[in-house]
Amino acid sequence: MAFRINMNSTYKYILVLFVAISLWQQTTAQTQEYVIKAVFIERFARFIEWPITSKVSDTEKPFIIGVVGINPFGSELEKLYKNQTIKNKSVIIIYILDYKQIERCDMIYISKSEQTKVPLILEYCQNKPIITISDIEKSLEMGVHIAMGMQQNKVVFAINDKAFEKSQCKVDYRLKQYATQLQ
Amino acid sequence: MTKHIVSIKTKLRRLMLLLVAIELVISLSLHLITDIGKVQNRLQSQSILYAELLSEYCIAPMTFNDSAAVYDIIKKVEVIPKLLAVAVYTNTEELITLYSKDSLIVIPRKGIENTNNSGIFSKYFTKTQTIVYNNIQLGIICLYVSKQEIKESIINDIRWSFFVSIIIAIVGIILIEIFQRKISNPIIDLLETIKTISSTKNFNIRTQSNTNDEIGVLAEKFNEFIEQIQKKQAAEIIAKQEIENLNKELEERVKQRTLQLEQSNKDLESFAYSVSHDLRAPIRHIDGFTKMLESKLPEKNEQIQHYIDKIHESSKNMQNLISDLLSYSRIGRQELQMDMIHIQSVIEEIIETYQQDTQDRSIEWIIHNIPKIYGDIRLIRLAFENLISNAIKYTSKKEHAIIEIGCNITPETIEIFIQDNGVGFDQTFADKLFGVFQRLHSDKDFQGTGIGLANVKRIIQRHGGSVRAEGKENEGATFYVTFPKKKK
Amino acid sequence: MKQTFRILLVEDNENDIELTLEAFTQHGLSENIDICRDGAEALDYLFYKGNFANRTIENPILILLDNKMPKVTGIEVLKIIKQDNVLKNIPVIMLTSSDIDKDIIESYNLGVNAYVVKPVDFEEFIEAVKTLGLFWITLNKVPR
Repeated sequence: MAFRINMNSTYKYILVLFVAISLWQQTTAQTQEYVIKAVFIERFARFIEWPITSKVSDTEKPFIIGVVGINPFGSELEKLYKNQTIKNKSVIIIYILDYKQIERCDMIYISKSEQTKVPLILEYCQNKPIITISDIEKSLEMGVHIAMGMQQNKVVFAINDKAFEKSQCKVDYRLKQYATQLQ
Repeated sequence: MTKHIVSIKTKLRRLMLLLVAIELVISLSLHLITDIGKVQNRLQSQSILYAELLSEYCIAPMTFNDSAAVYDIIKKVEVIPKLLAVAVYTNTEELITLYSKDSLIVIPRKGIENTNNSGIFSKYFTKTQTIVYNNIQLGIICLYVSKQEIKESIINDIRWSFFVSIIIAIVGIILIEIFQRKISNPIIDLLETIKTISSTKNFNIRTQSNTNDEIGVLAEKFNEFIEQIQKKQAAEIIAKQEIENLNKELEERVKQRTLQLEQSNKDLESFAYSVSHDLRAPIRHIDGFTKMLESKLPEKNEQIQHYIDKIHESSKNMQNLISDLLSYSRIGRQELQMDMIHIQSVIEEIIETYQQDTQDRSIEWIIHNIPKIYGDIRLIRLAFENLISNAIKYTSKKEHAIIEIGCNITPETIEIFIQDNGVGFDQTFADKLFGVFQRLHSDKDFQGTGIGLANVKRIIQRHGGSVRAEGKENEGATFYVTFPKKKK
Repeated sequence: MKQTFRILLVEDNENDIELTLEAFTQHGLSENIDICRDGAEALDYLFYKGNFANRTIENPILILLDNKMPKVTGIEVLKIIKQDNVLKNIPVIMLTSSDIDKDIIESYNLGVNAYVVKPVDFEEFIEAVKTLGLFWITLNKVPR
C-alpha cells in the first residue's frame, strides 16, 4: 500500500476515529452502565424476601432471573452469578421473548425495548412473587418494583412499596432507605 | 489559757483535719473508681450503639459501593460531640471514606487503629464494627470516641468531693469549738480549784462535777480525795492540838516540879546557911570560953585541965561534923559543870598536895595511864582527894605503903581503882563503908568523921557512876569508882 | 603607936563580943574598941547620927564587921561605907562564920579588905585578929 495520504482522507480518518471512539465510549459507557445495573440487580436480591410459599424457599430449585426484551447486560449477569447464589440457590438467567415464560422467574428485568409493554408484562406478574426491575422511565409508577435510572452519571434506583405489597414480597428497609425517592 | 488546753483543741482540730482528709481520699477514690468505671462502660456501650447504628445505615450504601452515601451517613456524627471521627474500611482494611472533626487525629489509610482502652489519659479510643448483612461482611467501620467524658467525670468528682470535704471541715471546726469547750471548761474549773486549794491551803473548796463523762468522774473523785485530805487535815489539827495541850500540861508540870525543886533547894540552901552560921556560933563560944576558963585557972590542975581538953576536943569534933555535913549537902545541890577532865593530872596534883604531910613516910605511888573522864572537875577532885587521903591515912601504920591507882576500861565504862596495902577492912561490912558517918574503924585508930566516902559515893552517883570497895583485914583495900563513858 | 585611935566592932552576938574583947585585951587594945550591936547602929555611929550625934569626930582606923546581923546586914553596911567618899578608905574586915562563896565574892567585889571566917578555935581567932589588927594599925595610915 502506498502511504500517500490525502489530506482529506486524514481528516476523514480522524473523524471516523472520533466517531468510532465516541461510539465505542458510548458503548463502553453504556456497557459500564449495564455492568453496574447487573451488579445492582444482584444486590437488590439480597434485600428482598420472597414469601415462604414461593418456590424461592426451595433451595433445590434454582433462582431464576428473567431478562425480558433485548438483553443489555451482555454476559454480565452470567458472570456475576457464576459463583454467586441468591438465597443459597444457584442462579439461572433466562432470556424471555414469550411472556408466558415470565411466571417461571423469581425476578425479571424489563428491558427498555419493552417500553410500551410494561403494563402487559406486569399483568403476567400480578399476584405472583415475581420482582420486577426495570430502567424504563416511569416504570415505577406503572407498577414495577424497582426502577433504576441515571442521575449525574450514577446509577440510582427507586422502590415501589405497593408493588412489593402486592407481590407479598418484603424489601428490607435498608434498601428503601438507600433508594432514591424520586425517579 | 494554759498550754495543755490549747493543745487539746489543736489535737481535735488535727484529728478532724485528718479525718476529713481520709474521708476526702476515700470518697474521692471510691467515686473515681466507680464513676470512671461507669463512664467508661457508658462510653463503651454508647460507642457500640453508635457503631452498630452507623454500620446498619451503611449496609445499603456499602452494598452498592456508594462511598458518597457512606460519607453522608457518617457525617451525621457531626452532632454527636463524643465521636471525634469515623472511618470506613474495606474488608481488607483499606480506607474507603472518613469523617473527622479533629485534624490532630491521624487516621490510617491502611490498617485499622485499634486503641480500645489505652489508659485513662489518652484523648480517644476506637471502636470498630464490621458492617455485615446476611452474613456477608461488607466492610469495617471505625469510630474514634472521645474520652473527654471520663476526664470531665474525674474533675467533677474531685470538685464535688472537695466541696463536701470543705463543708464537713467547717461543720467539724464548729463542732470542735463547742465540744472542746464542753471538755475544757470542766478541766479548767478543776485546774482553778486545784490552784486555789494549793495556794490557800484551804481544803474546804470543791470543784463542780456536772458532766456525765470521765471528766465528771474525775471531778467527783477529786472532790472525794480533797474531802479525805480535809478530814486528815482536821484530824491532824486535832492531834496537833492534843499534842500541844499535852505539851503544855507537861510544861506546866515541869514548871511546877522545877519550882518545887527550886523551892526545895532554896529551903536546903537556907537550912545549910543556917546550920553553917547559927550552929557554929555556939560552938565557937564554947571553945572560946573554955579557953578563957583555962587561962583563968589559978593553978595547974590536971583533972580540970583534962576536962577542959575534953570539952575542947568535943567542940572541935562538932565543928568538923558540921563542916562535913555542910559540904555533903552542898555536893548534892551544886550544879554540875561538866567537861572532859584529865583525871590523871588531877590525881597527880592531889598527891602533890599531900607530899608535905607525908614527907617522913615511905609511900610508893604506882600510877597507870587513865583516860579522860567526863565530869565536874571540882567534885571529882573532891572525891579523889577523899579516896587518896583515905589511902594515905589507912596505910599510915605500914612501914612501906604502896598505893596503886589504875583503871579498867570496858566498852561502856571507865573504872578507876585505888588500891592500898594498908589496914584494909572486913568485907562483910563493905556496904556500910559508904554510909553517912559510918566507920569501920574507931576514932582512936584512925581519925575521921565517916563522911568522906559518903561524899565520894554521892559525887560519883551524881555523875551517873557507881562505887564499890573490896578489902581484907590487914591486907589492904581497893576502891573502885566507875564512870560511864560520855556518849557522843 | 597612936593611942587615940578607934576600932569599930560591929557584932550582934554577946558571946562573940566578949571573946573578941578578950582577944583585944590580951593585946592591950580593949580601950580602943567601940561596939555597935547591929548594922543600923553602926551606920549611926559612922554618920554621927542618932545616939552618936555628939560623938567626937573621928573615924575609926579599922572596922570589924560581922555579916549576919539584924536590921542591916554586914554586907549592906559595907556597901554604904564603900559609897561614902570618906568612909570608903577605912579598912574593913568581914568577920563571919559563913564560908558560903556568894558572900565571899560579894564582899570582895564591894571592896572589903579581908574576909575572915571565924574559926572555932579561939587561939586561931586571936591570932587572926592580932595579925589583921596590927597590920592595919601599924602599916596603914587612916585619913581623919
